[in-house]
Amino acid sequence: MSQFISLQVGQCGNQIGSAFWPLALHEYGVQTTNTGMNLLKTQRDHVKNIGDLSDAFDSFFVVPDNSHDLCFKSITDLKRAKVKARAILIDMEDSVVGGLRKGPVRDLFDQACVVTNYPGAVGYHTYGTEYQEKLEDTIRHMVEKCSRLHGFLLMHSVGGGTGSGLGTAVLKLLADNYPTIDRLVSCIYPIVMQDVVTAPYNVLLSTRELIDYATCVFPIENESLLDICNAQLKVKGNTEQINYNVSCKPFQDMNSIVANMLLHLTSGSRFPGNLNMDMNEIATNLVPYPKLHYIFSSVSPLTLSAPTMYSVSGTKLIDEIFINAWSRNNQLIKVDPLQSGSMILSAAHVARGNCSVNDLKRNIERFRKKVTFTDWSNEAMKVGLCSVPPAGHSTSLLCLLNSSSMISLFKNVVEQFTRLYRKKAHVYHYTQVRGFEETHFIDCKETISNLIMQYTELQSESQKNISRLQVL
Amino acid sequence: MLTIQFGQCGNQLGHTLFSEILSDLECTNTGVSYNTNYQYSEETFNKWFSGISKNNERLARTVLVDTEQKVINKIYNDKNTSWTYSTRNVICQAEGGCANNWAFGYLIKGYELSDVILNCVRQEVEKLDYFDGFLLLLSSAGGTGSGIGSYITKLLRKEYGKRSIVNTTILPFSFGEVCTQNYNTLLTLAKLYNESDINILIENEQIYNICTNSLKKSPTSLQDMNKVISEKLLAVFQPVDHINHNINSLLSQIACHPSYKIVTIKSSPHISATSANYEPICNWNSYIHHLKQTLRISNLNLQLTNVELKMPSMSLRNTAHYMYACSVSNFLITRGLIPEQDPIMTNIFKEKDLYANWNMTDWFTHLHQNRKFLNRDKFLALITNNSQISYSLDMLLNKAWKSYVHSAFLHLYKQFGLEEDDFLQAFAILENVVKNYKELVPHAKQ
Repeated sequence: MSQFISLQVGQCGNQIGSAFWPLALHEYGVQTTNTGMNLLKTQRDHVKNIGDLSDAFDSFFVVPDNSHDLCFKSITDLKRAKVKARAILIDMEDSVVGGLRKGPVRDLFDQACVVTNYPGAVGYHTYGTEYQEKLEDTIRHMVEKCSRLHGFLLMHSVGGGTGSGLGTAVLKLLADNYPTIDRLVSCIYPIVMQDVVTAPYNVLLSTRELIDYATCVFPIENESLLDICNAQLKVKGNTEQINYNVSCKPFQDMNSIVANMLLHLTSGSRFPGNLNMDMNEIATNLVPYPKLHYIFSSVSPLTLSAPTMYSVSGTKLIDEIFINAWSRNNQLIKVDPLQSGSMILSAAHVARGNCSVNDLKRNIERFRKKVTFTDWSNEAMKVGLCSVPPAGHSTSLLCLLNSSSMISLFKNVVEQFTRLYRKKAHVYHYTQVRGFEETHFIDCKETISNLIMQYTELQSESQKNISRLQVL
Repeated sequence: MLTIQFGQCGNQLGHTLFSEILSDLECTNTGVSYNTNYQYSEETFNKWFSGISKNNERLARTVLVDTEQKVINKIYNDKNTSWTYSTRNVICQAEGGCANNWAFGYLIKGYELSDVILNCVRQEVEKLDYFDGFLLLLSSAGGTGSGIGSYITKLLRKEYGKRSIVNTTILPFSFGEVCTQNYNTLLTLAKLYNESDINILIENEQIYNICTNSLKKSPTSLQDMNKVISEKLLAVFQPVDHINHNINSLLSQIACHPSYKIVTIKSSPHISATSANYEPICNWNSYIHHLKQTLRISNLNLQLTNVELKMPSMSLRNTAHYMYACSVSNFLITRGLIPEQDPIMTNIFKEKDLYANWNMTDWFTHLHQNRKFLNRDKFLALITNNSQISYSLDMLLNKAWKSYVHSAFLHLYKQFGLEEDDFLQAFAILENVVKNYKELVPHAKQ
C-alpha cells in the first residue's frame, strides 16, 4: 500500500503528532493507553477487516523484514517486532519531542528520526539553511526505507517561529529533492494573533511558501478546533469522548481532530474500497488551477468514538453524517464555502465504512442543490469509498472543498500583516537575520494578493460563450 | 477471445464477468440436451479460459493491468471463485495510481507498462489456435483505465493490424465521480474511435437505474452494477447456435460503416432474483417489442420514459406514432427455448424506416441459442448502433467544452506534455461523431 512520511515540525506539529500516532494505531487495532487507561476503543471491525488492516500497516510504520505477521494487538507487540513510525520529528528545542519520546508510543521513534536541539528561535533562513544537511540526511534515510512512498504529510503551525519558518523550509527542501511526491500540509492558522507578537509576519511569510511549494494545503484554525472541543463536552451520552477530552493534556483533544482528519484523508490510499481514491488523485481532483490548492476540510462524525446509543441508523444515519459534514459545526476552518457568496471550484467526498452507491448518489445530489458552482465546476465532483471504517465508528465522511471562500483567510493574513507592518514593529527581528531582506515582506504580500485576485476573478467570472467546434 | 482489464473499474468488472461466466456454466436448468449443453460449455470454456491450473481451477484468459495494487490484490486473492488468474498475467505497478489523469496514464504510465503488457498479450495470443479478438474493459472516468487503456489499444492496433478490438467503455455517473471525468472521457472516446473496431458504451447511470428500478436492489453496490453489465456483455458474447458466429461476423454486421462504431447493448428482462419466480414470463414477442421500444427517441416535447427500466408488457399495443432512433444496424441475440406456440418474430426490427437510408441490406441480424442463459427462461440482448448515442455524447461535449474554455484543470494535463492541440483534436473527432450520428436519415416510410 501507499506509504507516507509524516514530518512534525515545531511545538504545534509535534503535539499534533503525539495525538496522531496513538489514533493511527487505534485504527489498525492496536490499543494504546493514556496515563494507564484505555480510553478509546480500537478498530471495531478488526476481525472482519484484518486482511486489509495488516496489508496497510506499512503505510505509516516501518516493519522489519523478518517479521511476517503484521497483526499487532498492543504496544508491547510493536516493541517486540521493532516497529517504527515513518515519522520525522523536527524542533528547535527538546521539550515536546522529548515528551513524545517518553510518552506511551515512545518506542515508535528512534533517535535517527529526530532533529532537535538548536538553540534560538528564527526559523527559515538561519536554521533552514544551516541545518539543511542534517535535515536532508534524516529525510533521505527515511525515504530509503520506503518502497512505495506516495506522500509527505507535514504538520506545523504557521504562527510560531519554528513551525512557520522551519516547516516551510522543510517543505521547500522536499519540493526540491522529491518533486514528484505529493506534499500535503496541514497547518494551524491562528485566528486572533495573540500567542506570538510577530505571528502576522510569520503567517504571511509561510503562507507564501505554502502557496509556492505545497501540493495541497489543509488550513486548520485553532478557534474552530476549540469550538468543536467545547461542543463535544456538552453532548450527553458520549461519555467515552468526554472522558478522553478531559484526560487529555492541553491541546491534545484539539489535535486529535486534526489527526483524525489526516487519517481520513489518507484512508483511500491505505485501504481498498469500491471507489478508490489514491493520494495523487486528491491534487488532480481538487486543484483546477495551479496555486489554488488551499483546501477546506470538514469531518463527520467528529467524535473519536460513537455514542453508545444511536438515535438513528441505516440510511438516516448516513444522511445525518453528510448533513453534519456540511454544517458549520464540523468545519476545521471558519470560512463559508456553502454560503451563497462563495463558489465551489471542486469538491471531494470520501466516505468510509458501509456507505453504498445509493447513499452517495442521493447525498451528492443534495449537495449540488446546496452550493453555488462556477460556470464550469458543476461536474467537478469526486467521490471516494473506502471499505475500512475509522476506529470507533461504522461510517464516516471527509468533505474536501476548494472554494473561493478561502479568500477570507488570505484577506485576514494580509490585513493582520499590514496592521503590524504599518508601524514597522518588530521588523528588525527579521532584517537582522542574515539573508533576509525587507522587500521579502512586500513580495509575499504581493503573492497572496495575487491569489486573492485570482479567486475573486473566478467568483465574478461571467459565462464565456465560445461556441463549440463546428464540423465542416 | 482475450480479455484485457484496465484500472479499478475494468478489473472489478472483469472479475464479475468471469464469475458470471462460471455461474452460467454451472447452471443446472439448461433446457437443452446433455450433448448440446456439453458443446456449449466446451465452447464457453475455449472462449474465455486458457486452461486448468495446477489446483484444478480454470484459468481465465485475461490480462490484468493496474497501477496500484489494492484492487488487484482483492480480486486475485478472492477465494470464493472456482477459477483463477494466471499470475503471469497480472501486471500491477505499486505506484499509487494514475491520479485520475488521462495524460498521466496515456503518456507516462502507458509508455512505461507497454512492453510488459504487450509481451503478456503476445504470450497469450501465441497459445491460441484460433484467435477471435480482443475485449478491453475500461472505465473512462479515472486515469488508469482511460489513459493506459487507450494507449494499449493503439499499440494493439499497430501490432495486430486486422484483428478485432472490442472496447467496452464504462461512462461515469453524471453527478460526478471524478472532477476530471469529462476530459478523461473525451480523450478516451476520441482515441478509441480511431483505433478500435467497435466501442460498446455503458452508462453507469443507466445501469444504476436498472439496479434500483428493475432489480429493486437496495442498497445498490457496484458489485450489482457490474453484474448487470456482465450479463449484457455475456448475452452478446456467449456462444450461439449459429455456426459461423464470431466477433468478426458480429463486427461486420454491427459496425458496417467506418464512421459509426459506437454501440450500446439493450437487454431484457431484468428481474430481481427474489421475485423472479413470481414474475410472469412473457412471450418472445413482447420482449422483442420491449427492446424495440428502447430505440424510441422523444418527439416534440414529450418527456421520454426510460423504456429499458420498464417491465415488458403482455399486450402488444400499436406503437406506430412513436419516433424511433435511426439505426445503422441492429443485432438481436435471443437465448432460451422456443415453444411451438410462441415463435420469435423479428419483423418489427426489419422495418426499413428504422435504418439509415444508405444502408440497403443486412441491417438486421438475429441469432439464437436454445440453451438457457443464467437459468433465465428467456433473455434477449440487442446490440444497436443508432443515433441515440449522439445525445449523451453531445452532453459530454458541452460539459468538457465549458471547462476547456475556462481552462480549468488543464495544467494537470499540460504538465505531462499534452498540448492544447491534442484537446482540440479530440473535440474535433467527437464533434464529428456526433454530427455523423445526428445526420442519419432513415429510409422513407413505406
